[in-house]
Amino acid sequence: MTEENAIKLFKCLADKSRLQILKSLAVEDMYVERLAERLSLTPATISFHLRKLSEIDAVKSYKTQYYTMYSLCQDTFAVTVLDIIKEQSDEADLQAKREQAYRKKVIDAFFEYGKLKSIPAQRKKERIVLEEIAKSFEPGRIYSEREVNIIIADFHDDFCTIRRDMISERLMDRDDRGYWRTSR
Amino acid sequence: MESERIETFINYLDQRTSSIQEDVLRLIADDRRDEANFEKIRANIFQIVKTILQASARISQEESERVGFLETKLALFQETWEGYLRKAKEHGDDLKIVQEQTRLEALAEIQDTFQKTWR
Repeated sequence: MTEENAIKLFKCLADKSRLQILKSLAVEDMYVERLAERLSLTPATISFHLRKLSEIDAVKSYKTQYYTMYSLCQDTFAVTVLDIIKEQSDEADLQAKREQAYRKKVIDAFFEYGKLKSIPAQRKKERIVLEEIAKSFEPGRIYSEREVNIIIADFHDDFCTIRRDMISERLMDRDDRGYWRTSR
Repeated sequence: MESERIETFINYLDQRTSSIQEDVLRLIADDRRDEANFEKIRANIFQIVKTILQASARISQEESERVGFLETKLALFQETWEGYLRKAKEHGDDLKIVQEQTRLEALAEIQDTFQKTWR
């Protein structure tokens, strides 16, 4: 079930009359006039609710000799709320795209011809910049401090600050052997 | 100064409006928002008729002329809304069917009281 359909389903079910109709149909299939009598609503109102319910595949209809009967769509209700929540969100893709666009904007603003113009004051922006610099380090390889400084100096003169910030942001790690790029 | 019958009729329209508005609140509290919206349509008809009756004073001060004016309007509404209902049924438009039926129900109730008051 798509996120859009899930919202339609929840909105449609947030109505007492429609829930009562579903409860009645859970007992047995019924036609409009019988539901109207049962719920003390006009047949037109019942038809209106049934239309809404069929739009979200909550009910389906079939013709018999005299009546159009309505029944519950079991498949729609077999889906659990947890299934709906766990489903990949359309919004997640959009968020990822927005995040990507923001990253590009920050990189374009702070880098010029591959050189870092200034170290961003905002932590979020600095993190993006540091991640970009971290791409210059091969994963799994151990670098001496001198090698690290040379690589960073290609981007900015203040390699000490950047090196320390990369450690504190856990983009790089170090021990007695030297420095290496983390998997973050 | 309104005539006694016009005043009584306006009181009737006001009472029905407030009674339906209470129904609207009750339906909302009962999580029946769509039905509450249909009742708002019903209440609106009573308000419209009241407005027409009050506005008829600009046409004439004579009760008979004002009542005649209202009667014509009510008949016009009936014809128009019956046409809308017919079209809604032709197109299987369930929402419009309920809306037009609600309007016509309110109108029938008003016409009934109108007949009892003046005819």
